[in-house]
Amino acid sequence: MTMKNTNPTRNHTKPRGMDNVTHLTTSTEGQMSKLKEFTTQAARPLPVVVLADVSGSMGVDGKIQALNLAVREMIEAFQDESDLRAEVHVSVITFGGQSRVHLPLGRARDAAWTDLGANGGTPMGAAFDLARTMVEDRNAVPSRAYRPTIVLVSDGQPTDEWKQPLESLLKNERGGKAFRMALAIGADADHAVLQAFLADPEARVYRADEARQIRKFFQLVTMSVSARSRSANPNVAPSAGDPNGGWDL
Amino acid sequence: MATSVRGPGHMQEGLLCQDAWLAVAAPHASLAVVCDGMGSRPRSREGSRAAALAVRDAWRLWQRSPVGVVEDMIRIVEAAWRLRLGRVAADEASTTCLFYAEDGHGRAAQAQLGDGLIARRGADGAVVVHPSRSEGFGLTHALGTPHTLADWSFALVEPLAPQERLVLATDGVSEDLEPGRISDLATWVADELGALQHPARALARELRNWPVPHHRDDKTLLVMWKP
Repeated sequence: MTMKNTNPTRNHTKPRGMDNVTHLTTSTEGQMSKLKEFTTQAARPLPVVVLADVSGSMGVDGKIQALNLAVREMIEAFQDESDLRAEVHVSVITFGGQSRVHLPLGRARDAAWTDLGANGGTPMGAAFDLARTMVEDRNAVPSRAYRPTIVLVSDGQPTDEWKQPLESLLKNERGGKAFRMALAIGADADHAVLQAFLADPEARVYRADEARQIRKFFQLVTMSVSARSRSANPNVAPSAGDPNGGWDL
Repeated sequence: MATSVRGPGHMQEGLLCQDAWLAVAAPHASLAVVCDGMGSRPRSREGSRAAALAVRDAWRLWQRSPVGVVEDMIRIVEAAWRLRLGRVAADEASTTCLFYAEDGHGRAAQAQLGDGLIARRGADGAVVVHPSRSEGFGLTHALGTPHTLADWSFALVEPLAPQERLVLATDGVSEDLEPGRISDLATWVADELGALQHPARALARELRNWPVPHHRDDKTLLVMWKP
């Protein structure tokens, strides 16, 4: 048995081949480490999935314009961050008339944003299903990914069956482990649904009564994700208490 | 051959390495252990070191019986770990625990609680990865967190044969490995680094220069083989 040991117990035996020492090439010697051949060269992804309400009611009071600006700024912020320790991946799932993947999950640095329009009802349940399918997909979210963040933004009440899809998302082995943030836009937003999405009585549904607060909320999402990415363990919430540091919009 | 190195995340925070490993290379009964203290727990460094020693405690008892089951060894690991912690609260010292143990009676056990990697490269180059019950997203079972025997993944296996390579790694290494290259990694460590004058030092240097962008974790890699 060949073993070199410097830890709790020491059981040294002379390594074989000592008479035939070869030269190791390492990155410290200015050469590429051989480990590069055995490891993936992709940083571990940190997924951010936005579930965006784009129903007809979002088309008034500048809400959809504010949402477009806010999401665009968030993506640009992730693109500009040079000291993030993870590779932020972003996806946007919309629900307005129908639910669909507006921006497929991929590296934020590669994301090309196109503005959203507002139209139709509020099929939030279908959006929960799409989100669950996305985080379940090990090609989209590999096992080495950090815990995803799922962000829900809505100004109304679901117009489809949402309880079962939400339960499936929360009970899902992977979806249930995601960090979740929620924003209620305006007085008509269904706070109970958003609170059910958070599934944590201690967690807070943010509220935006003005378009500018939508932008502030997404700045908060950006800061939260960036803080996790810089931490020693990005799988842990930024702080033990309020993960958003008690911010208000 | 094995080493642990501190990850950039802990360097940045001024914390020590929270991984631990232990190996006993004996002709008839060998032992290899790697443990990864959970970063979110304040005493996890003590936890991982206590776990490595607890496995050795259990292994010494396990060797006394030619028919002892792996479950009993695991139960002893659990108890010995708590006793070794002394006054340190178990939930403040949570750690994963992966080990390979030969009993000296022609049997061997592999067991894993939490994330990380146990893999064996056969003489033909084929790699068998021990099935893990990892939860993903960095959420892991561990000593010191609620779990049962069912959360351990364990099996009786054949002892290492000549030309075989055993690889144990904490998730700081295993999460970034290309699954198809484990065999080559084991060969490189054993044959190339193992031939150097200071193989463990060379391995540590390699792990410190981990080539994956934004890597954060402590890293432990242990490769065992019989000449």
